[in-house]
Amino acid sequence: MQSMSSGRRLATFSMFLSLGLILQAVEAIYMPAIPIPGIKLGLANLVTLLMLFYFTPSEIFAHVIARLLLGSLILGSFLSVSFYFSVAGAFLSLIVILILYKTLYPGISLVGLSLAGAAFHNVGQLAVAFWLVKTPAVYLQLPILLIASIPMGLIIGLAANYSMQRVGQIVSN
Amino acid sequence: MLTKIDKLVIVLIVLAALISLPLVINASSGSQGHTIIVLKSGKRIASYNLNDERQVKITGSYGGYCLLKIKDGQAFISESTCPIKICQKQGRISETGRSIICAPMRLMFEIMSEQGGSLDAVNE
Repeated sequence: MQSMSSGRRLATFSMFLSLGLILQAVEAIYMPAIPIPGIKLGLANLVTLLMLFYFTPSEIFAHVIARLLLGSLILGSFLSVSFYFSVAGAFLSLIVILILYKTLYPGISLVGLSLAGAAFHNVGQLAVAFWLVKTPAVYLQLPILLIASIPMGLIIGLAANYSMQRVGQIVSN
Repeated sequence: MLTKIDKLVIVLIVLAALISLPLVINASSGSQGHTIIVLKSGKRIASYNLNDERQVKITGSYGGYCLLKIKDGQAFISESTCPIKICQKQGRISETGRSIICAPMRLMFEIMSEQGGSLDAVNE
């Protein structure tokens, strides 16, 4: 979809950005809290996955940066500890998703991309957590978070697949 | 819906979790400490070698005392005059970084790796 006119492109980009922000806010407000820190669904990643088909990597990076900044301002977590976790997780997971998408797609589906992204999101988070508190005990969470990333990644990946079947036509028409 | 590579990703994540489990448990379990330091209202008032068996009476901030016992490289509070004895229930500590805290007396006992430990001039 590189042939979109620049106006249409900007409009689509903005639409995806607002979608991401809404999903992030909805998740923060309505999802039941899980007593283990670091585990969450990551609904906003659904939008990032969809964007793979319409935007260039740098545009997706711009999307993620904008979502992190605006999202944290909306939810009030800007520059808090969890903000740094999200930033690290989001970038690491996006880099992994982009690499896998470029090299393996369509051998790997949105589900696989989502799973890999979820796992590396947690790795990124923990790396920052370790860097902040400098206690190796932080790594105890790694196996737990990795296992938890499987159901979360599956849910988001399958949701992205279904959304693609519907949103796909709307965007490209 | 899942391709082969998708399934491979799941297997790899599970494998990574399983492999990392013993590694992280190993990395996060602290090493045997060397000294125990005593802080009163954040100020270091004493330090003892964990290898020496001893029993010390440490006076807290508002009267009362904690009895700190060191035995077999482990330290614990054997007696305290505080009302709910949380310090006693914190059990035996021996690994670097572990601590026992008695809030009502403003006392904190922390295991350090060696003499001096991680505290710097500012803490002291």
